[in-house]
Amino acid sequence: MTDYDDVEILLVEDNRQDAEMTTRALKKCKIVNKVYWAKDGVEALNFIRCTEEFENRNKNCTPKVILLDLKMPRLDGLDVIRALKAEESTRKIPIVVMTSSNQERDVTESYRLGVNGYVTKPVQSTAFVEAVANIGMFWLFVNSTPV
Amino acid sequence: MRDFDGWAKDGAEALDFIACTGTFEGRDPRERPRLIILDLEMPRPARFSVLQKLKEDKRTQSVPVVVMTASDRGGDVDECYRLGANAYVIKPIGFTELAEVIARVSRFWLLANQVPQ
Amino acid sequence: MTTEFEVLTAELESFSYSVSHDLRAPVRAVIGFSRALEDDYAVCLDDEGRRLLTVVVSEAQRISELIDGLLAFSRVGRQPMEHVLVEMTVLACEVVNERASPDPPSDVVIEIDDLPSVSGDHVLLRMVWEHLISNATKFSRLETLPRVRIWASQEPTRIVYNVQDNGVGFEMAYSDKLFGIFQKLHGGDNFSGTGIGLAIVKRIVHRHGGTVWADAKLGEGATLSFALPIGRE
Repeated sequence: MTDYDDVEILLVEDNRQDAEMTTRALKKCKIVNKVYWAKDGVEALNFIRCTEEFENRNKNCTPKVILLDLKMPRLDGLDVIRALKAEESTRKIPIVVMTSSNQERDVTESYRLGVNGYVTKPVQSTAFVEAVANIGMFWLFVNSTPV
Repeated sequence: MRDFDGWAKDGAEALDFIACTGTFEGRDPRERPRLIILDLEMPRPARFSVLQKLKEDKRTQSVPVVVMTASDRGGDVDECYRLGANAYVIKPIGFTELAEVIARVSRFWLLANQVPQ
Repeated sequence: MTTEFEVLTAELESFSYSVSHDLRAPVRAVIGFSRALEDDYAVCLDDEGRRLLTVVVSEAQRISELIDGLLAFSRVGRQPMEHVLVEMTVLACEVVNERASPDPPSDVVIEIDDLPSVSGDHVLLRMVWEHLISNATKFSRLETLPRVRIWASQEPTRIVYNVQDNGVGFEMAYSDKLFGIFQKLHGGDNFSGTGIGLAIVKRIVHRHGGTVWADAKLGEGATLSFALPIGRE
């Protein structure tokens, strides 16, 4: 069992400051569940699939939710969604898009590809903390994930 | 949260709401709810068919559906996600717990979540 | 074959998107990290240190508001217009009734005369009323008996709508600045806002082929007027 095995939230975010603020917000509302921060889509997919640097990770341990940014280098958020939805073993992991963009085309396309929810990152910090708290409180404690 | 959502007492009424027929004849189909909370244990029609119809119908496909039901059977959870449910919540028995669950459901789905137009 | 107009529009859209995405992230970080500093390290600072931090936070929030204002302004110039017959009295009344309760609460009296209907974009014209009424109530709320009056006059080729308040007014010498982006003739803490509202009103009215102007007397109030042509499809 490695450090990666009890990860409950996979945070996929290329912006270091946004990642730090999200983690702080989660800590602030005492959601001490394990959060793993993947810096881009490629790392996120390797994490989920237990490949490359994550080959020792237990494949049976899936996060309760993936918080996914859209605009990222190397592999775009939408491509990550497509990849996860294409495989039977990863298709059912809940995905909540968390991105700067509130552009209608991003919202529509994300839902069309099968995300569970879509949250636009607020600029004001109180709203940001509140949004992260609301995400955590629902997806970690209320929602039931498929087996 | 100002406008309360509508309450359909069974699956058939829910389907009428979507199709703007029956009791909901004349309803504007372009007005979509922001969230649908769906109980599986409902009379008419059978359990998963409302969810299936909601996710098949282009008019309601994009509305988030949170299944909130007493069943905690893994098979039910799986089937709902397979049919396109956005989330699955097992209704707790105690009132305080239920109130807390509803609060968390509302805070995410009505405050944080964004829905396509 | 794309026209120059289409190229320009696409470039503007990409520019606005850049503003939205690329500027928002660092602004969010400045606000987030300075608030984190405030929350967790204010005890380590003296009064002056805390004051400096408060300035950083409020200025960062101001940048955020300016970004939002700029985006709203840009959107207003680009979204396609749908001409319908707009019932202006109904629209103005709706806008007045939907106003959020102001803080501090005000008992401004708003009188709306019968307003002629006009052909125009319903959504955009609603924005015009929202900004004009918001301005009028904002600038008159410090009066003992704040009053806003809305009336219209029908002319052969156009209809002129007027929104008058009995507030602080302004000097006519500066009236040409009134409709500029981010222009505020009243600074400081008394009157909040980014100064984008009237620029948005002007852009919308111009897109309808109309004109907008203001008339005022310092200390007595102001009348904002806009004229829309009749018989335009």
